[in-house]
Amino acid sequence: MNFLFFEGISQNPNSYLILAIIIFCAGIFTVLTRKNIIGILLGIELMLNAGALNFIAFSFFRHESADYSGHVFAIFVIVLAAAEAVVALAILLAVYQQRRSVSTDDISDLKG
Amino acid sequence: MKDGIFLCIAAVTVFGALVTAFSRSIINAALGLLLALVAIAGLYIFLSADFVAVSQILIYVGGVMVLLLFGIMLTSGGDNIFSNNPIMGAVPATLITTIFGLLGIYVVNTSGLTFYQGAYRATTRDIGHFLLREYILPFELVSVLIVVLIVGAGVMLRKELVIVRQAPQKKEGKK
Repeated sequence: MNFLFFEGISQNPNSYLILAIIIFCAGIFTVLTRKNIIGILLGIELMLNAGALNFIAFSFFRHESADYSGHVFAIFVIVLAAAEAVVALAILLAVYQQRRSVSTDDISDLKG
Repeated sequence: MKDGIFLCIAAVTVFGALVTAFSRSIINAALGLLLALVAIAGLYIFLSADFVAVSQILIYVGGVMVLLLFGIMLTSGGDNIFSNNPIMGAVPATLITTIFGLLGIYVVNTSGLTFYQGAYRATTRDIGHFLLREYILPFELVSVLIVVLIVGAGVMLRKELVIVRQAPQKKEGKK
């Protein structure tokens, strides 16, 4: 365990990576356990944020000179997450107009 | 001092994520996600990503969270607000989550990457250069995506879709 090899925990890349793992695991647990579709969306947002946090952490700690590709990727992640939320909520409202429910139990026509 | 602030922000992030993961009320879960997103913006500032931090607050907290809260309010009418986000299948989910967590910790511990002491710089100008030089194609594709998004969301929520779906049922009734 090479945890604290820079001065201070806030300058240690592993603390950010472990934090991202915790956020990602919370997101996975949320996605796997929810019946409410909006709850699943919240979990997906958490997982996307963990990924963006990893991009930023590696961009900060992996380059001696300035390289901002990680920042650009994080911005793309944020924008695509916003787009995904818009589409998902549009689908959700269209489904709710017909079914009056957002539970995955009630929307099982494609289950076979 | 810096480490203390970092630990506080990290604790707030973990708390928000756990509230999202374990809350029985969908509105509490959304507010926990809000807390986690704001705290992650603080972590971005620790990582010298000022532009991304501000983008996170503007787009996520100002846009996505408002959208999600509207979605919750429009779709959870009549439900009990403290139990409208039930947890199902917690045991297998815990198992899978544990596997992913252990895998992540293993990767972090055995990656063998060389890390440098990060330096704090202003990033906005360089991000602009990157977006308009190396990443010009994805940048333009995102604008195409957003146009598709606007049209698609509009089409999906039209009233006509409901009418088109109900029309064949009436014919069947006449027969």
